[in-house]
Amino acid sequence: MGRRALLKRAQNTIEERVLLLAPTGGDSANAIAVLRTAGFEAVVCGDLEEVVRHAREGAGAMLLAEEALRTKSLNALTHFLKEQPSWSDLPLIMITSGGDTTHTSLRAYEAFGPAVNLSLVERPFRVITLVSTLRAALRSRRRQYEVRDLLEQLEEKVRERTMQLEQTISELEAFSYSMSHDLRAPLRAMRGYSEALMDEHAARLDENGQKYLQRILNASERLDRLVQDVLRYSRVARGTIDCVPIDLEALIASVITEYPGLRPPHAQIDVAKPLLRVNGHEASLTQVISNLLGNAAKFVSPGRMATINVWTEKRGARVRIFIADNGIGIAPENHERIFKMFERLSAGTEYEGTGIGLAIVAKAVERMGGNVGLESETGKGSTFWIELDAGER
Amino acid sequence: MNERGPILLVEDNPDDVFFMQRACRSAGVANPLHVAEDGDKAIEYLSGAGKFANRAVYPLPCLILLDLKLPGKSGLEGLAWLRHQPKFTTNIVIVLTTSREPRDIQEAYRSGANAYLVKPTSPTQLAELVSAIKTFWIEYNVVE
Repeated sequence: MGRRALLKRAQNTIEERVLLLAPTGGDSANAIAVLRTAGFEAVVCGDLEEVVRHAREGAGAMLLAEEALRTKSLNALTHFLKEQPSWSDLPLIMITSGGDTTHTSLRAYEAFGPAVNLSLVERPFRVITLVSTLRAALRSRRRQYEVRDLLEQLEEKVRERTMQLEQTISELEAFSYSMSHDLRAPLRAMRGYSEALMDEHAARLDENGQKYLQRILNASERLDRLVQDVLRYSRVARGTIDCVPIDLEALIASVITEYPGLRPPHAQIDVAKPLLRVNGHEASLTQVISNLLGNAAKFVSPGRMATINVWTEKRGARVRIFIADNGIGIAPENHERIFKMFERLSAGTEYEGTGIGLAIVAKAVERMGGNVGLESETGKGSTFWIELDAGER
Repeated sequence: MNERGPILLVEDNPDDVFFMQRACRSAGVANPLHVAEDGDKAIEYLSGAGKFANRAVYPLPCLILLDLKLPGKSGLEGLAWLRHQPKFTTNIVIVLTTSREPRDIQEAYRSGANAYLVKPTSPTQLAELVSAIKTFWIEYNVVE
């Protein structure tokens, strides 16, 4: 037998043993005889402290005479039983005096309370009663060991999975990092040379040549927007998000200043001041608001100026920010879809877009601990809302 | 005023070098543009070593435009070297790179970059950027 197997057997013996404490000679001799005959591994202890000491190393059950519980060391035992790990519920069998319940046995019973796996066997005990009680106790103990082993396996599995996940995440980080450096360089060359060609040599190209060149230019612009949006998404999804109280009015004003498409003649934005403060991550919230305002300004019927209303409402400890437009609207069956990556509802090139803008919104709001939603019908405009914790002053 | 000396462009991508030359022309930058292809070459240039020994041909730059991702010594390593040289602690270094990664931005400033600019995709935007660099860093900015 190998060392491992030997160790395992020794461990099993410890875990199956019965700790016996019976101060009166008769009980003790009887019990030992019964245990040995029935094939139990018994350890005879001199006092409660020894019982607890052995129990810490491992035991299948404890068989204690009630007289043994009168000592001050009872606390050590109850403490040990209370501090067991979650899988463990060590069976305790108490030998009590026969006949009426005595004051002592009642007190011992109460000392343990309902949280202890306690059985009573009365004197004079029948062999069959004691043996079957012990068997039941050891059987339940074995079940506990199975639970313990399963828990260990589970923890091991969780550790493994966590490691795999961490590895995947760091690979993804490396991927998106190298994408932000490397992917855009050839794109810049494509776009740069096309523009240079258009600037300097357009006169030497015929009409078709110029058209093809324009298409290359358009395609590279589209790809650039796509790559930038994917990078924005990955930054929002991976970056650290520390939320602080944010002055929404100032944030929205700076977004409008930055994007000419959010001002007349393209769009008219009415902000219902004062706006409530929210708790958010400034860079992420700026991204969210500019994407939502950008969409509101973009998806209008041709030739119409977008009219956008912004207001906030208090909802308990949260604040809901509304952005309502007079645009083309979204059919209710599409409300879920639009927040997913690369989903675009408008066909063709009528409305320029990458299909990532709302995925960025959803991810950023989720990372700030908020919710996002909309009310809309085709032809009746859309009202998008995001809900964040209120930002206390 | 910071008009003396060339601009040192630390850049390994020949396309980006070409676009920068073009942008400097269209922005009317009078300073010559010298190119170092990686961090090691940039260090050689600044220390006047190897082929850059002749200061009459390769004068110290008034401005360094630094790409971050370079073969060999990275842009940040080059920057760290520069800031550890007593005579280069105040030179203007502008990071000009593709990355918008918060990690790169933080490390660049921590290593002593004076500004962090993201390379625009279109030559028109690049010319605008170079023109802004010229106005602020070469014409208005005061150095020792």
